[in-house]
Amino acid sequence: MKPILFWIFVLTLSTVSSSKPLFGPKTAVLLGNIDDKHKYSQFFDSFTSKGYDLNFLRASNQDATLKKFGEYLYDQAILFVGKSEEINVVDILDFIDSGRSVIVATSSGLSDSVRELAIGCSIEFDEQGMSVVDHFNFKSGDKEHTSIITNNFCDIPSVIGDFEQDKKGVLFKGIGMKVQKNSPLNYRILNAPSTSYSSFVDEKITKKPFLIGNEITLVAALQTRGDARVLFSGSIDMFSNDFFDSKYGNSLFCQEIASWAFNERGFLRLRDYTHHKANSMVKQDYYRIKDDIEFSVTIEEYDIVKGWVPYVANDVQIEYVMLSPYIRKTLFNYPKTGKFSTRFTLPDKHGTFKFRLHYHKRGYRFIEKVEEIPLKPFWHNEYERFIPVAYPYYLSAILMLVGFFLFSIIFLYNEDKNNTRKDK
Amino acid sequence: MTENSFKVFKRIFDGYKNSATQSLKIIDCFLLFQFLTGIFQFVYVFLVGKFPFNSFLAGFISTVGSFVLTINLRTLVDPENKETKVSIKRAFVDFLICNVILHLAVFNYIG
Repeated sequence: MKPILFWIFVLTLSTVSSSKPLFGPKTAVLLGNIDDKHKYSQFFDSFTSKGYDLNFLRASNQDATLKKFGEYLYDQAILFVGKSEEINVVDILDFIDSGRSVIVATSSGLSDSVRELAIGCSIEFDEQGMSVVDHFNFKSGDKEHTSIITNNFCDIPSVIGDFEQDKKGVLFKGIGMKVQKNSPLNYRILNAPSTSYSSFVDEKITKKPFLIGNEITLVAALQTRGDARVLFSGSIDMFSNDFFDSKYGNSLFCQEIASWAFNERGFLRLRDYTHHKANSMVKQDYYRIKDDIEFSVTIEEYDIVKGWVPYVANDVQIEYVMLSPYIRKTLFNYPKTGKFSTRFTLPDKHGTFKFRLHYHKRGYRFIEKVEEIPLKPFWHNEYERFIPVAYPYYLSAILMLVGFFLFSIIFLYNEDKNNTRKDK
Repeated sequence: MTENSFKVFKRIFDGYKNSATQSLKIIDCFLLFQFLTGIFQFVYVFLVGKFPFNSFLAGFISTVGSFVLTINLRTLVDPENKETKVSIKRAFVDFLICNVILHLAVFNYIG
């Protein structure tokens, strides 16, 4: 009896934790004060239920090193550092450069080191002590008007996920930031309402504030070229249990953007990248001009529960480039296998061409695959033997020859009595 | 006006018919054929363009060259030609050899 129960217990345990974070479960959570972790218990519990292994560390402690003897101890990090807590900026930037994702949340009391970290990610926080204030969209009962409610989200489905349907206002209390609007690497995920501005709470305003209205970004992100995602939020309170009230969309919003930041959505990979001549499966390392080519690649997306699933899209393109694209074709998608393929004819110009798969969709990992293949001109004997345009010339030359033969026969055997010239 | 010119042409044509021997008439038919083929090719290249220029040149030269050689044969064979000392056989053999060389060159160049 007992052994059976034991094995049933073990089996149920293994099915419960079937979701697997992409880079690994070890997550460092740096807090200013470790006792505060109960304030954000709902947020942290959403991680542990997905299989993350949270390790709580104090932010400015010597033990809060992410790296030991050159190896990283953690695969992700969460930093909740408001209230002038200093962090080791160089360490964290190295952590990000190694491809590991970080969620950073701070508040009005942010320290210079957090500001420096954000500038390293092209995000400019406001001065220490500033808050985002809105006299029209604030939580009822708030006298200082610093707990603002905003509806101004970005519309990238990969980033906000299921929040797209829900779209309740998000409650925010903290500091704003400025992010360049059309940057290819930065995302402005949550912006302040147009009636807000950023200032000291208990001072009279004497000059125009640094940030006004829609320019103020409350939650921003950077996706590095090394596939790391860094999420910055100007408010730690946004993640707290008090703010996860069902009146506001905080709970779902925070979970969705955190899952995007930790690569649970929008992380693509390439497999089975091939190209070959249309009717043969042999892969060559050169092609000839005007060949028919078939190109195919399989793209998969990581899903935390199901693992790698086929990616479905109709806007992946392949380019055939020599200094500038000669051919650009949209790949045809097979949704069941995630295969993308197409056929095309190579151009009439020889040279060194590149197959370039350049897919930078907003919210997805960058795909940039370039392969250089030479394109050879025709061999001497691969040109067409007889040119159809020149058939009249061929015909006339042949007619001349035939005429010559016929003429000489007729001329020689002609019996002409009037020819009085005598042969000598 | 046209009646007169008509009579002139008829007279030329009758004079030709009477004076020319049959050999000469055969040569003259061949000449006309070569001339027309040459004209046809020239009009064709004018319309279609010079794409395989070597083919055009080869075809055109085959007609022009044959025309020249046949004219040469005609002058040597003509019974009214008093200055020449060459016999008809010799003239014809020259014509044969030159035509062989011409057509060799043409078929090599025509591509």
